[in-house]
Amino acid sequence: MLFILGVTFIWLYVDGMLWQSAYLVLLIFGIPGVTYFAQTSLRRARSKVIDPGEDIHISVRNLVKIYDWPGRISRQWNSGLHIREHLGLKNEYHSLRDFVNVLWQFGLLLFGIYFTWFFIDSRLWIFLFSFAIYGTILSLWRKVRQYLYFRFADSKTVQYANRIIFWAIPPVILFILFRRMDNTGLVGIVGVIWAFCIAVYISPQYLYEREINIERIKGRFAGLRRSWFRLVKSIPLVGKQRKPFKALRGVSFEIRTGMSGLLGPNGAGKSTLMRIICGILEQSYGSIWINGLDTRIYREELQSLIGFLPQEFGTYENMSSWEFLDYQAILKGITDTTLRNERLEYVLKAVHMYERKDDKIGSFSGGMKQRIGIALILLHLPRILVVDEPTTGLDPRERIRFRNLLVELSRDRIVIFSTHIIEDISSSCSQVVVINKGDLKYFGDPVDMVDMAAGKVWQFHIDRSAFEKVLDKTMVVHHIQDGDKIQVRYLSSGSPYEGAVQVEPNLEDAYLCLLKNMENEGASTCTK
Amino acid sequence: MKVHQHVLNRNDYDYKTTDTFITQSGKIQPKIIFAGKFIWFLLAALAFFAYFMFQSAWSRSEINEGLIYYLLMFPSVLLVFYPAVFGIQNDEDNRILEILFGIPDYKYKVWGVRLLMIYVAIFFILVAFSYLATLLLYPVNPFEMSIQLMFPLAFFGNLAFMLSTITRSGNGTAVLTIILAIFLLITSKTEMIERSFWNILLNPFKVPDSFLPVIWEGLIIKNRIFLLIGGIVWMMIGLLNLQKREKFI
Repeated sequence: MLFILGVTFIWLYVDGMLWQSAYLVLLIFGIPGVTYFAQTSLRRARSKVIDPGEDIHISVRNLVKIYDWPGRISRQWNSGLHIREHLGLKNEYHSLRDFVNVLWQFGLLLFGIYFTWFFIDSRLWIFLFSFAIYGTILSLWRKVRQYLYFRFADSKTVQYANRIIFWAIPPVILFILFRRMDNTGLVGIVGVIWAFCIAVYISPQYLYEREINIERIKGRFAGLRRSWFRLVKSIPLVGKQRKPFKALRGVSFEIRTGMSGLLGPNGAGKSTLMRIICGILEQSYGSIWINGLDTRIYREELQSLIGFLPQEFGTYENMSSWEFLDYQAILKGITDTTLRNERLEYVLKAVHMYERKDDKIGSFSGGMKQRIGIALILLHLPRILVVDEPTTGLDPRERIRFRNLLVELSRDRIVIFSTHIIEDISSSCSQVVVINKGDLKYFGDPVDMVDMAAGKVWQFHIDRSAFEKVLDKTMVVHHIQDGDKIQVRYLSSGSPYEGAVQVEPNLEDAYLCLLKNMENEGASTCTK
Repeated sequence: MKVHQHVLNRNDYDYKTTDTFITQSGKIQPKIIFAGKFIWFLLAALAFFAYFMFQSAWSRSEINEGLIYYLLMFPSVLLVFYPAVFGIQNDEDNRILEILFGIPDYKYKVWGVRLLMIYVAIFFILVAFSYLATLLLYPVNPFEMSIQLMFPLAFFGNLAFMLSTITRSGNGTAVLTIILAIFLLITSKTEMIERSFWNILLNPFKVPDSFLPVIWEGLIIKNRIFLLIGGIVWMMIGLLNLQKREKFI
């Protein structure tokens, strides 16, 4: 309809073939473009996208997440360059003969220098061409430098020459501009801006190549240097050179209704995995399917089904806990005032914060704020509940209470929670996923996981001196002082010490076995 | 601990009418949007307005509705500046963005409603300022004046909001917004744009010389449509950017 109207309008009101063609092209691309833009921008969450009576099932397939991954265009461009290099088509300058094909560029540069600074009179064109000359000199020098570095590898002279040339070119050009343009003020300003741009260009490379941590800079003018580097890093596009880091390496597993624990050391990728499931981060490769719906396609629609409590979260400190939860309840759709007040009272009592409902959140301790976070997720109870280390900062009594609450909730929803504490998993989870350094180590029943450590857990007594010298401390599960001796619980494929006896493994032993990659030693297997 | 079953009923909550939601969240949102610093911007806006009024009276310039419109332009931009530019930054500073991302339709419920609250609040402040101008300088219709001012304000405010979703930094957005404002100011004075509907600062109360009223009214309407559509487009781009949650974490 719109297209027909548009074409009619062009036919009747627009004069000239050129304008008619231009408007027609705009119409052909514009209508679908605007429709797509409006549809994408105005996407809404839809809880009915999955039937309320249907059981929820999450399927994770080959999930990979790379932080600081270059953008798509950069990746495509660089992969093209790598292919050329692989095929031997890359232009390399390792001998003087390689310069034969680019000699004309040197000729052009010489002509450009003569033309810009000795021929033309227009100041504007002298100014503009000077920068073109600068760019040309730099690109040609890069080729020459490649040859010199190849020919005179590790030569300090070449490195110093490189630095001298790099820093000398702008002052030389500025001097020439000063002589030709007769405008000291302009040359001065250009010089300052130019120096700033060069400094901004090389600072990120310097930080990246030497892997400098800005906060650890010491020495002369340390404060000034730290401030400068922080400023440079904050500049978009140029400021930060990124090293890609693979946080998840092809993780696959299934989660069904019930309580699922995510176990792993710090930096294993648990938070990354949870954020990807919740749709906060997007995966680099792989898919997550929730009841057959790809989360990449239905990200916005599935938002209403997932609730997430991050490991570190903030609140509005100037609000009281009641006000804050009231606001969050309204945002989550509980607009009936009576029902909302009832729910707020319930959740605050559930976390034992009802007496402090009118106190400002800013005055709370860390554990109290954590409890407010737990109260937050209890407000509207989505069908998939993802909590990242929710028991951090809670005392044992609160931890157990909260764990029991999650177990009750998991009867008819999926609850995924990450923890370092083994007891949380052993006492409440029907499924466990163990991740270490982005790799999936185990997923399945905790009971089956314990079997993996069968025959690998030993207990023995040892002298203190021998304990310090003989044993590999990383294999010690725990040790207790027992008179003159130390009673040690130790992981080993074979008997580690004289008099060691095999004992029944527990979940903690199995977890440590997995982290030590001991699961494939002997008959036991890793995953179910 | 037993969990109350009726509270856990999956279908307990339903999305009531939009106006109920806006009314309820509208009571709490201003505390977040205008926390702390807004009062200083309000005072600054009032101070600037008072100064401009005094200067106009002192220099005995011709005082009419057109002048009042110009006098109110800068203070109104100052009022929309802080909440539009620093909205995202404040949530980032509070580390509450991840919590907000967990709310279904957070784009509309949080930032959509915030933008609405900002414009409603500023509208009433402008009405008050216009009334003040009526008492001190020249009689104007406060509501008409405020409505006319809301068009460039919505355009500018939504532009600042869109930039804040791109830069994700209050200071960066502030710098960009100021540069853009200066650019718009300069371009609005050029001959080509000054009397066309592309002029964002077009003054509906100041009819230029040798301009037929009918053509002028048509121009104003086109200009207001342009500003309205522009404002909506900026807002939609901003809402689209808010879907890219990874960039904010």
